[in-house]
Amino acid sequence: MCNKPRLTVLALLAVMTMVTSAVFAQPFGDQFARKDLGQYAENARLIRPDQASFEPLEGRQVLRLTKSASVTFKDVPIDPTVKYALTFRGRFEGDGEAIEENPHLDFLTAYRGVPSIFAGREVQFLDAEKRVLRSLSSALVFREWFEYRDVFYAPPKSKYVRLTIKSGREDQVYFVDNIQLQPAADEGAINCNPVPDRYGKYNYSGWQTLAVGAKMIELPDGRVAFDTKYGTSGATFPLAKPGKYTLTTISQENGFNYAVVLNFLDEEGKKISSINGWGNGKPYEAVLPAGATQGSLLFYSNVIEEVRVNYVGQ
Amino acid sequence: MKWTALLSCLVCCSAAVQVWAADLVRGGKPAGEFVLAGDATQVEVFAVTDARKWIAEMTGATMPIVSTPTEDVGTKVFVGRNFAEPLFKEDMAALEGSDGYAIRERDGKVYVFGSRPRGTAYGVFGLLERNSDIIWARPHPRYGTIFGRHENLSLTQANLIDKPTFPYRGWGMGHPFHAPSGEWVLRNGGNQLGRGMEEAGWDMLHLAPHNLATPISRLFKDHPEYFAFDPLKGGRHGVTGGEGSMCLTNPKLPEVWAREVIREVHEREARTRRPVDAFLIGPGDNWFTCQCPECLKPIQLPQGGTLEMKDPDAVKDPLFRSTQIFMFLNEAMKTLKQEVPHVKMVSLAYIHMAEPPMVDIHPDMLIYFAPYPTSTMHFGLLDERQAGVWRDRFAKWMTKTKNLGFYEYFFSKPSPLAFYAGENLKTLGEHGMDPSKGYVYTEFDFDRGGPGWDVGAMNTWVIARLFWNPNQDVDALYRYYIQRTYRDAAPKMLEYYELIKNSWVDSGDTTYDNAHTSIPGVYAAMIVKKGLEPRVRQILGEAASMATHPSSQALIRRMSTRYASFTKGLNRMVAPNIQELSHDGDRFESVQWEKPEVLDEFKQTRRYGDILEASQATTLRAAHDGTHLYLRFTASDTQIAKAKARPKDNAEVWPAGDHGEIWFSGPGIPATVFAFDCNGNAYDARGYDRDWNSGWRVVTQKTDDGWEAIAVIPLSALGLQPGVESKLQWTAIREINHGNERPEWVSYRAVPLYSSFFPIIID
Repeated sequence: MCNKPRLTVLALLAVMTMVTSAVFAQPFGDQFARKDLGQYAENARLIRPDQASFEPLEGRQVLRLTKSASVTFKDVPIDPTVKYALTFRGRFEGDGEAIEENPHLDFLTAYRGVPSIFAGREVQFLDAEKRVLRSLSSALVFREWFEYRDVFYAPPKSKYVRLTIKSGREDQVYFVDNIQLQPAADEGAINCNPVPDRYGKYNYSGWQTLAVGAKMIELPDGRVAFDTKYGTSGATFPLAKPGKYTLTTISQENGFNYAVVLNFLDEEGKKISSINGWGNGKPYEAVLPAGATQGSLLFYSNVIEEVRVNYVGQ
Repeated sequence: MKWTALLSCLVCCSAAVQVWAADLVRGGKPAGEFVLAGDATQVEVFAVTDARKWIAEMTGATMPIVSTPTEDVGTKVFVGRNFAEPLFKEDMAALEGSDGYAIRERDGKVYVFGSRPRGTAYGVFGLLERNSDIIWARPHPRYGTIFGRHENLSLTQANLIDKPTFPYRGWGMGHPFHAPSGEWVLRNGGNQLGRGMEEAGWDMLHLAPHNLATPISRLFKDHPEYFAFDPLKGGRHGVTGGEGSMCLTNPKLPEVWAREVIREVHEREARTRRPVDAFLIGPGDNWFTCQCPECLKPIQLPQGGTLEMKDPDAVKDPLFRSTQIFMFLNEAMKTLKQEVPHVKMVSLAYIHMAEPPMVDIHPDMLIYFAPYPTSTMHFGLLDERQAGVWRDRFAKWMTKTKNLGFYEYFFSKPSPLAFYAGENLKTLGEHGMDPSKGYVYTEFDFDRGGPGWDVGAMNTWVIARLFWNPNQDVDALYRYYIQRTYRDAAPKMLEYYELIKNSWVDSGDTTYDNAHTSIPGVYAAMIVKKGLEPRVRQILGEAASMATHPSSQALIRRMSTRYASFTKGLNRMVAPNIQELSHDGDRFESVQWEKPEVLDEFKQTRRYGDILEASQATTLRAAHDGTHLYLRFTASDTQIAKAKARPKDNAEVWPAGDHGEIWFSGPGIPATVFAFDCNGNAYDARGYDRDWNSGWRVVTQKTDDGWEAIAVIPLSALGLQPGVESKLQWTAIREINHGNERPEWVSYRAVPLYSSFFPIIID
């Protein structure tokens, strides 16, 4: 009897090691120690030597991209039920415009695609046949070192995640440092990025389709909140267990037809039903409807400080 | 009474009008008196004192109101049923059970009476309106009632009977109650005036409005099984905030629900000491319906066959739920008919209940149809431009019941929407609906001087008249209103009316207009997009100068002002064609800059909360010369010496610091910005690409009280052509930077970048 817990712990450790090794599967996590692009990039053969190289930085390697290089990293197996954080540092040199000079470039930090003159990143989710199920793309607009972070769930049926980094305009040099893909830290919610202030005003993790004018903003006290404008929807997240869930939102009403909605979706993303909440910080309960396997958030006219979907139990 | 019989009656009555006259006021002195029984009801007292008030304002004479006729006063107007009953038995018989009234003269005395107090009140208002030039054009107490000043007032129209087609003429009243609006409804024939005029003495409709489940709400604690099952909540839930749904397949529920309705009726009648006229029911403002297994089973139809559920969601399968509800109501009606036969059960055909069910409706149930999600303010419901689903629903309802009316949202708007209200009401008659069981109702705005009344009062007035009698000539009603309201200015206002009528009633105009369409949106569609704006402005200007009556003047002025504000609200950048700009348009002293409109609605940029004035004024003017767009940006600054910007250079670098930005966006034109600062630094970019070059130039100058910029942009760079409609839109932003940690951001109408862009018109 007394050996059982120890065995369980050992088994768990073994599983964690396996998961960790899968999660830290190449090409990410080794700080480009192998200095060989072929070890990291799926399309290494298409990249000219003058487009990509490794440079030392503070005792490790950074990837240097230029001449409109577009490096697609090797696909990484992924579990759609796990929340991940993909992070790296980046900066650029050259004549391109940066957010440090033109603050309106903050528009490009949302998942709205990337104009070709800017450096950018694209995260694609692929099924077993390597078909793209969904993607996130955003510009890399900071001239100085900046940590980019995408917290996400892959959509159902995803088997792989793929990262592509583009260096932007021909004369621009982009430096990439320390790419990491790992399970995200506990955010206190099933949905991603429940507190916009945590990752700051240039991070749109968890949001999928932004309404016209939607934007991360600074509140008068300096905290970051998300102004959803009219009809911003979040990315899907898994609702794996049957039973009760809560939707808890702290937000300000901000315009016409204010609404806070949690949609319940089936495996194909078809809406089954939904519940409405309010931004008053109270949890609104709902039983996961039959056939629902995932959820998504939908907001109309809110300034969100927090939004959490949590599992309560049976 | 059938529609045809009613029409004949009205025709006969008109023919019976005699040439006769009796003075009420002569030479500014009373020449008659009102005789009102000592036990007259509140509504009769109101009507007579109200009439006396208007007569006094018209003539300066305050007519006596007495309970016993005095001998030395001339014309006596006896008000009320009791005076008339012994003399006019035929009239009384004809009026019995209706809100109608008769005005009769006998032996030099005038009798005004209805079969009930409110009928008498309508008669008093009818007497005054028919024998003077007064019109209760809108409720507003200061300028809503128009009449001339006269030394004499004679009664010439004093032999008639008039009865409303519909017994229930409801006007939706919100909170807080607005007495002038309630009084206006009364003067114009409505019988639902709002919460402040509900006491028995007003003799208005006594209604008990409920959402379907609320009569049984108190039973939830002991009988949750009567209430709808919600799989999302994992159980059954009672009524919250007046909203809830029932488990309609519970076999006990029709009787239980009916008993609770009866209890409510009895309690209400005991409390108010008057009978309930109608119990109004509807689904509430939600689509939720019971999703217990039993309520999802196919419905066995009473006429045979079954109705399968296509989707548990009532939004997707309203027929299934509507059928379920009306079968339930038909069953409950058996008990209600026996126990409270005097109470009309009136069901709202709204939300999923708007779908005509697959069962007949109980013959004693009244239906009022709420076709609000379709364009009821622009087309008749059977018009081919109407959305097919709503056209079909209306047609089907007229096969399901003879007791059909409407729940409408005829808010005051500038368009002549009474034509469609009239068309729908007439359609009821043409399809054999029983007018005595027609409940017609519209929500409307209290007249607290709001924009709807300022631009659309005549529509609301005409609709009120159509609620009384839908067979009147709508166009003639409009003309009557205009003549009485605008008086000297009536010819011009008729011109205005013809202009908007021809624009809106144009069969090629498919503009959608329903309860949610904004008033400025209707103005834009009916006037601006048709190029009628200058003509309307001119007509109203001329009408204002022709009007001599102060209230007519006020009404025309208010309409003009509202239209001007709607125009401003369109936020258009109207660039006139000023050829002379090609010579000196880039010079600040050019007199040509006096011509364009000044856009000055620059406020502190706000994402939420109240809009705040900017610390410094900003204006923008636009014009073109056929090839270039000229934009003059004026940044007032009382501390111009503190303005912080990069020293002038020729680098195309974002002009951080004290600067202005003018943005354009439209189909095929990615976000395009022209930015400049107080030192003359300039930057243009398209799609965030500053390598793009528009070929523009900008000049700036600092003055004692700010700085200015004139930007000259090739029209071709923006895809603009003179006189060609463009979908390109604009916005403008200013940063006021005095070196503070937090500079002040200002934008046109306080709108943040990308939240809204505004239209451009290149004349």
